[in-house]
Order: sequence, then structure tokens, then C-alpha cells
Amino acid sequence: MTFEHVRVVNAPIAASSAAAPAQSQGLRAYIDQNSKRLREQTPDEAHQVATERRVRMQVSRVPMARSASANAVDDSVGPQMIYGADGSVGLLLDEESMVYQVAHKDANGDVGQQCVNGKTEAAKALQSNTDSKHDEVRHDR
Amino acid sequence: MIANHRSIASALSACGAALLLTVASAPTYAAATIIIQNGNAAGVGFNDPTPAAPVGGNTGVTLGQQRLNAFQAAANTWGATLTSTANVTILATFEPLTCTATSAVLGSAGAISVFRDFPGAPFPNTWYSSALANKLVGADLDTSTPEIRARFNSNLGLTGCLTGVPFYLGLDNAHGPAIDLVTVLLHEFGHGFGFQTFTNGTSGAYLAGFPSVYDNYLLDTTVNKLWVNMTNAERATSALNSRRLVWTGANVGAAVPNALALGTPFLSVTTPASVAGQYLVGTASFGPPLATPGVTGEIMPVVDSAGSIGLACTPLSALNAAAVNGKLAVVDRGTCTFNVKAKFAQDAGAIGVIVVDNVAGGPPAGLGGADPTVTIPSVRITLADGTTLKNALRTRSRLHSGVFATLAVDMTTRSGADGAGRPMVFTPNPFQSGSSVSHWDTSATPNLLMEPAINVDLTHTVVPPVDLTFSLLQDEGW
Repeated sequence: MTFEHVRVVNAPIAASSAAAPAQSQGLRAYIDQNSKRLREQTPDEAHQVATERRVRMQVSRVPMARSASANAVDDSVGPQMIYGADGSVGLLLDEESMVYQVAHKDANGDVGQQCVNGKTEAAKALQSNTDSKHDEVRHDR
Repeated sequence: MIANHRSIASALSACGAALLLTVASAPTYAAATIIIQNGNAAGVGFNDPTPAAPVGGNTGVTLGQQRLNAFQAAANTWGATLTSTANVTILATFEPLTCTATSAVLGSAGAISVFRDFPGAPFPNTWYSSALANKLVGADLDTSTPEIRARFNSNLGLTGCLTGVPFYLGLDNAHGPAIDLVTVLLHEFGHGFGFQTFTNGTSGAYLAGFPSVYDNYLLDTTVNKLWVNMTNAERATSALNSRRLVWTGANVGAAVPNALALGTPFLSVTTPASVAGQYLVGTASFGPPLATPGVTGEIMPVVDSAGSIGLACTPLSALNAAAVNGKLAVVDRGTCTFNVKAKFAQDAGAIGVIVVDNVAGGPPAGLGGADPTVTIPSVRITLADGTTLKNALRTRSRLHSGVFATLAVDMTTRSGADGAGRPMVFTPNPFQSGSSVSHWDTSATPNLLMEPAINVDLTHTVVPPVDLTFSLLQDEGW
């Protein structure tokens, strides 16, 4: 099938891996939690390592800036800031910034869905069958 | 507590989405290239070689190829709608995600990075998703990092992972009881393009001290302040101000009259003055929809349980039946389904049913259930509003309360918008992380793509007159 506005490429795992392992602590290895054997680096891990390296070597890395405004900084976020030469400021977000879509099936077989922020909230939502407040067809009681 | 704001619900959900589809299209000049970066290793995820029969216009013959085709279809819709000279890269994988037999993480997505104070930024000191920042700059601000991360559950539907409810991989939206992957992707990509605030809704604190571009368009109609003009405490309060936080962007405002149906269901108490006002309601999926001029009558409670509770899960006693005959019956949520309560009240002669929630929070959700023999209207109100009404009912006689109300539809406002035609964003109380603020309110009718729950009647459309997602992104600078 062809899609006019889309291109598909393979994630540069090998390239990222090649650039990534030169950590000051030495090579980085990954263990499969089930088999306990060495496994390949995932794209996310490759991306994380590459980002760490790039942030460390190519851009200035500073603690999150505190605004001069009256508003306090949200210290719960842990991303890294990047300062570009053109004055732009970037912020690499972490997993807790991702939007998770969680689904529940109730006793009637109806499936409700909800969005939650981050892996932590997603885990909580999985355990909760009470939240389908926004499922407009829910047969609750 | 009385809610003076007009209530909204989904009574008119059948309104003209199909007709509107015929004229829905993206701007002809729009174009952006979406690059899907396949992050799966050989043999899994997008590369899963398991044979699969073509389905719903998806001609892939392996599970992996069908997944990739669905991803491309969703990305292509966005690529045909957005305009950018900078490519948007989505790092995507299908992989095992957390699940149980009855629940599952379908997937996750979002911007990998945000930028502020780039050349040409419309608002200074303001965070933009990297895809939007790149579009506004006309170049990739960070060529080494994709703009969006998306991962979806490769085990969905298998035994032990929302068993029996897989992703539907067809492209024609004929998903039946399965979960339509293209719709989920359109929704999640929408967040990645900028349909979200990065501000903490619980504390009200900006991300790293700066607002999101999204915050510039959020107006709290109680205090008449934009989020960017509030203190942290004010924003935290505003995030809980149900159906009082609206989007003020011009593109969305222009699209609302065609996207949202006229008609806002409400409960209006007229006397006594101490409790008079309009209350938020959730409407029922059974019985007749609320109408104009609606049903007006005296309110009387059912009392059949300890603590002045009226469950109405069995035929009403003679005393209760006499009390609600010809009146609007107040019953409590719990023990049996809503349509059962409505039917017993109807059998006793009630002309309408007001179900009081049994847990705190708002806005009131709808009333699910089905019973074609129910012929009177029913609504749900919050526990807090129910307590207010019950207090007013304490001085009643056996047959009269002196409390009068109307269940009707206000045809001057649109379902999901305020009186000024501004769509409401989702602000339930208590706060729902990930859902609150960064979605449209659930009262929008017809349903919109960016409501917190993905409704089964959605189409694969992101533009007006069917949907408001692209309009909101346009307001932000797309």
C-alpha cells in the first residue's frame, strides 16, 4: 500500500548503538528479564544513550531553569534542557510525559478507554475498574 | 451547590455526523511528510511475519505489515492535513505492554521534546511541541531526536491481555467490538502534535517555569481569566472547574457552529429561591431524550432504604408511589441499573427521574442501560447537587414538596460549548491525570476525536465540520 504523506524507515538502532556505548562507566549491556541473557539494545535505550551522549558533549546541560516569575517550578519533572545557538531552548521529556491509552472491559463486556499521563498513572489505571466516568455508553449502576 | 452553567450531555448524539462527512476535507494546500521510524527488531511488532488475511482495505498479508499499514493510514491523514516543510518523525514500536485479562495499556504516545523561544515563536517564553516548533521555524531544531514516540501493545486481544478484544487493523472503521487502531492512533498523534498542556494540572505549575502554548487559549469563565494570567493555585482550581474552562482560539470558534449540535440538556429548579438555578446533568441512553419545552413538575424523593436513600430497585411502595405520581422522582444511584430504577418510577406514575450520584465528583456522567419500555426522561446529577436538593425536600409533606423543576434542552447553546459558543475542555473533579484539561469535554455532541474516551461512533476525520482537532492545532500555530 502507498501513503502519499508517509515514509517508513528503520530506526537507526545500529548507528545509535555504535555511538552510544562510550560511557564513562564503560560499555553498557542489557539483560532480558525473562531469559536472563544478554539482549539487543531497544530503540528507546539507544535513543536515551545517544541523547545522554549528545547532551553531554554537544550542548550545554544545566539544571532546569527557575523562572523569575511568581510561579514555582514543577520539580516533579525530570527532563533535560538543551540550549541552542539561535536562542531556542529545548526540553527532553521523559516517559511520565507520554499519554497512555488504557482500556477496561466491564462485566457486560463493554470496553471503556481513558487517557492517563505517564507509566505510573497507567499502572494505577490498569488496576482501577472504577474509572469509566467518561465512557458514555457504560452500563454501570 | 448550584451550577449556574448550562449542562450538557449526549442526548443528541445521532446528529448529522454522516451528512457532515460528505463535505469534510483537509485544506487542499496542506502537506507534511510524516516519517514512521520502525523501531522493532526482525520478527516482532511491525516485522511480525504471522500470516494475516487482508481486512477492511488493509491489504497487508502479515500481522506486522497490517500494523504498519494502519500506522501509515493514520499518519497519512495527519500528513494530508498539517502543513510543514519540516518532516515529523514518529519513533514507533509494537511491543508487549502491561495488561490483564480485563484491562490493558493500548499504547502510549506523545511529544519527545518541547521548545521555546525559537526564531519566530508566536508567544515568547512558551513551550511548543517539537513538531510544531519545527513547523514554525521551517527546520528541524533537533535532527537527532524524533518528534513523537508511539508504542502500542502487541499482545492486545490475546489470552490474558484484554482477552478477545484485539486491535482492528482494517482502515475502513468497521471495527465492530474490536478497538479501531487507526482511530486510537489519530487521537494519540493529536496529542503529539500539540493537543495537550505540559502544565501540571494538579499543582498548576508550569513545566520548568514556562507555560505551554495550549495555556494561552484556556479561559476559566468563572473568574474570566486565561490560564497564562493565573497563579499556580488558580490554575489548579481551574482544572477542577467542571464545564467552566473553555477554548478561546479563533479557528475552533469558527468551526464550532458546524461541528457541535444545538441543544444543551439541563435541570432547572425554579422554586424555592434557595435552590433555584440550573444544574449539570448527565443524560440517559434509555428513554426519550430531553426536549423543548421539556418536562416540568414537582420534585419528590423515593425513600426505601436507611439514611433517606431511595434506590428504587424494587416496585415502589404505596407511599412512595403516591409521592412520585405525576412528579419528577428523585432516586439514588446504586444496587441496580439505572433503567430499572427509571422503570419502577415510571410504573408508579413519575413523569421523569433524577438519579443522584452516590460518589463525589463531577460533571455527572451519563446513565447507561437500555429498556425500550421506559418512556419518561432520566438524568443524573452530582452527589453534591443531590444533597442540595434533598435538603430542600426535607420540609415536604407526604404528597408535596414545593420544589419545582424542569428537565429540558436549551436550544440556544451547543452541546459541548458554553453560551458564547466556546467548546469546553474536560475538567472533572477530582482531577484525572492525562485526561483533565488536555481533552474536549465529554458532553460534546456529536462525539469528538479528542475526548478522553474514544467513542465507538468516531470517524477517521480530524477536520471541521466533523471534528475540532485540527482547528485547535491551527490556533496553536499549525
